[in-house]
This record gives sequence, C-alpha cells and structure tokens, in this order.
Amino acid sequence: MKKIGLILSLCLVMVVGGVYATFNYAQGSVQAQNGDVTVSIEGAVTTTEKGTITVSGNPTIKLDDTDNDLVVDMTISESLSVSFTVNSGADASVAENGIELKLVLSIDGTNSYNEAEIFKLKDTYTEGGVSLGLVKDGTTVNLTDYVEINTISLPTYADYTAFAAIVNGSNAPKITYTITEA
Amino acid sequence: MEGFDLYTLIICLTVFVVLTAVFAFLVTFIIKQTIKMINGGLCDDEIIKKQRKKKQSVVKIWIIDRILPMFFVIFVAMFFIFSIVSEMQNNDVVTSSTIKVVNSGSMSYVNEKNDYLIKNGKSDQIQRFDLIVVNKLPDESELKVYDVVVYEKDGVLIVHRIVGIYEPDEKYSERRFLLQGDANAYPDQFPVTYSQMKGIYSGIRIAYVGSFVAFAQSPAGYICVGLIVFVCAIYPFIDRKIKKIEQNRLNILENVTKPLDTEEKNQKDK
Repeated sequence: MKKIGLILSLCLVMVVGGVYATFNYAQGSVQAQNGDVTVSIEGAVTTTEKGTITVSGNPTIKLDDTDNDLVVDMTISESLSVSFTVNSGADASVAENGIELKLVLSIDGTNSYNEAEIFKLKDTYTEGGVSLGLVKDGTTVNLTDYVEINTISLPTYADYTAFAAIVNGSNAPKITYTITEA
Repeated sequence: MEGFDLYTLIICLTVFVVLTAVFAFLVTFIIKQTIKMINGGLCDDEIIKKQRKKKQSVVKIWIIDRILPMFFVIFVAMFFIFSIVSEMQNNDVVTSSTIKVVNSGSMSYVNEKNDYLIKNGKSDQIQRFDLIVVNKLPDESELKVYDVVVYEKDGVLIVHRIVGIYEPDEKYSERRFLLQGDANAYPDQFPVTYSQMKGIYSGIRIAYVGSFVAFAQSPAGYICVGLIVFVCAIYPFIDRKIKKIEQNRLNILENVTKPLDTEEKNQKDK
C-alpha cells in the first residue's frame, strides 16, 4: 500500500528533521573557548583549644589573557570567609573579642616557566604569615591581596601550550593557605 | 570525542531514540491495522480499484514505486559520501579548489570596533554554516592584509582575516600573520605562520547548505543515515508482505465472484 510508504517516509523525515534541529540547537549553544587554565588552591585550618576556626569558600586561580595582549592574567574566583566559634570553656576575653588569626601561604609544585617564577607572594605578605587581626564573627580574606603572577608573555601558540603543560601537569603549581592562631 | 561533541551527541541520541520509538510504534500499529482491514474486507474496494489502475498505468506506478525512491537513495548516498570525503580532507592543505563548511559565526558581521573593514570596503562576511570555496594558498609573499585565509589550530579549521603581518625578527625566523574574525573585537590570541594555513577564501559561498554537511559529518548524522538505509532496506519487505496479503484477498474475492459470474452468464445464455 502506497499509504504505508508515505507514512514511513513522513516518519523518517520527522525523525531526521528532529535530530537535525536538535543538532543545530546544540551547535548554537557553543560557547567561545578561551585558552585558560586553572590552578588549585588548597586550604587547611589548625585547631585551637579556644574554639573552632571555620573557613568557607573554594577559590581557584584562573589564568587567561583577559585583555588580549598575549600576557597571562590571573583571576582568583572567590575570597575566603574566616569565622571563629568560641568554645564554652574559653576565657571571657576570648568569648568577647575572639582570637587573633594569621594566614600562612605557600606555593608548591613547579612554580617556574622560562626560568622565572609563575606565582609570587606580594610585599603585603610577610614572612611567616600575615595577621588577620582579632576574629570572632568573621572576616574576609582576599587572596589577590597577597598573591600575584609574574609577567608571562606567550606570543605564540607553542609558548601557550608549553606554559599550559606546566600548569596542567602532574606537578602543577599549587597554592596552599593555612589559617592558624597567631 | 569529548566535551561539546559528546554533549551534542548525547542530546541528539536522546531525541533520536525517543522519536524513533514513537514512530516505530505508530508505523507498526498502522501496518497491523492495515493488514487487519485487508483481511477483514474493509479495503476491498480500494484493492480492486488499485488492481484495475495497475493494469492501466504500469509505467506510472513503476516510476513512483521504483525510480523516485531510487533517486532519493542515490541523492542521500552521494550527499553522505561528499560529506565524509570533505571531512576526511578537512585538514589537508588545499591543492586546487575545495569546499569547506564554516562552523562559527566569527566572520558573520562587522564588529563595531573593526571600522577599518567598512573604510576598506570589506563586505565579504561569511555566515555560520555557509559552504565556501577555498583556493590553494598563493606564495607567502603574495599574502596581504585583509585576505581571508583558512588555518588550523588544534585540529580545528578557522576562517579569519589577516589584519597584520609581522616580518621575521631575531626571535622568530618565520613571517607571522595576525588574524581576526570580522565579528571579533580582538585579533586571535596567537599569530600564525604560513605553514599553519590551509587555503585562501575565493569569495564564493553558498548560504546555509553547510549546516546539512556539518550534520552529515557528525555522529548524529551517521545515525540518521543509518536509519534511512534501514528504512529503505525494510520497506520492500513490508511492501511485499502487504501486496501478498492484498493478492490473497483478491484471490478470495475472485473465488467468490467467479461462480456468481458463471451463473449470470448462464442465465443470459438461456
């Protein structure tokens, strides 16, 4: 029966047309890909008898050429929120004012490209850690205040892949922060 | 396959499975109902009319039943082969002239920052999914600013315009070309060398057709071509089965009507 053939053809057109439309829709949602890489930041807190230090936020470092000058720019995704909860048995002054905390930063892994450091600690960071002052209710730590990136020029794609290989490699540079009692 | 291609395949596959299941159920139901109707005698008039028509216009039926589907299958096969060959040659250096599909919209309009294009009358923008004719690259020294070239980066072909040329210097022994899509606000991140280029845009483009070629080159397209081949392969069996059932019904009708015809004839003779 010719009707069956017609129905079959129509169904075929509908299936292929539907998949084609989905394909076009999916292709349309493609986002521009930037050659950026991310670097992990790991954190730790040390315990104290006076109370509990809590750090929230999961910052990552994104390396990109944001202004298209072929020089790597650094963006840290979010800041750290540090808070302190006083133990019930702590001194009255601690309960009232909190405790003084300090931030210790370290850069591990392969932190060099073309015989120069990739990341470096800013002058605002002092050797042994930087004080966050008395913390009770909470404070915000912006890592960009203490970490910066060297001027890394990547004029060719080969330079970019060499740099990306270091940053994405097994021994990639890693920034670790520790919040501890000062 | 990873990332975006995988995402496209998964959603295309989901749509394919859902639509195929729905239509397979529908077609099976219709075929079963048709067979029931034929056997139950509800299509007798239609079958008899069809039998009479068959005798009258054998050529017409032959064209509709055989020639048209054959042309359709040949067209689909040729289009698919063209797409596959074009995909295989995608990353080859163009030696004469070839056709490429433009997969991005980076050359589709003039970004307001690129007013130099308007000043220099460069209105040869290329839309996404245009099919463009790419010619063999001229000598390196003949390439000039505002030429539109095809180059390869990470296995992906990019069609962009030359917006700057860096002559060799102490650091780079090769001439480097700074490229930019007309719709992009900034030039490409890395200048490219002549050896990275594959061809030069001839200025000839066919709008929209590239979308079908890109589809046929994708895994989703392969699945659809597979479905078309499958349907073309099973249709003759379905057709034959229904024709056989129709013939059986015709035989039954003939057996019933023959004694009546003989009786009528005898009565007339008397």
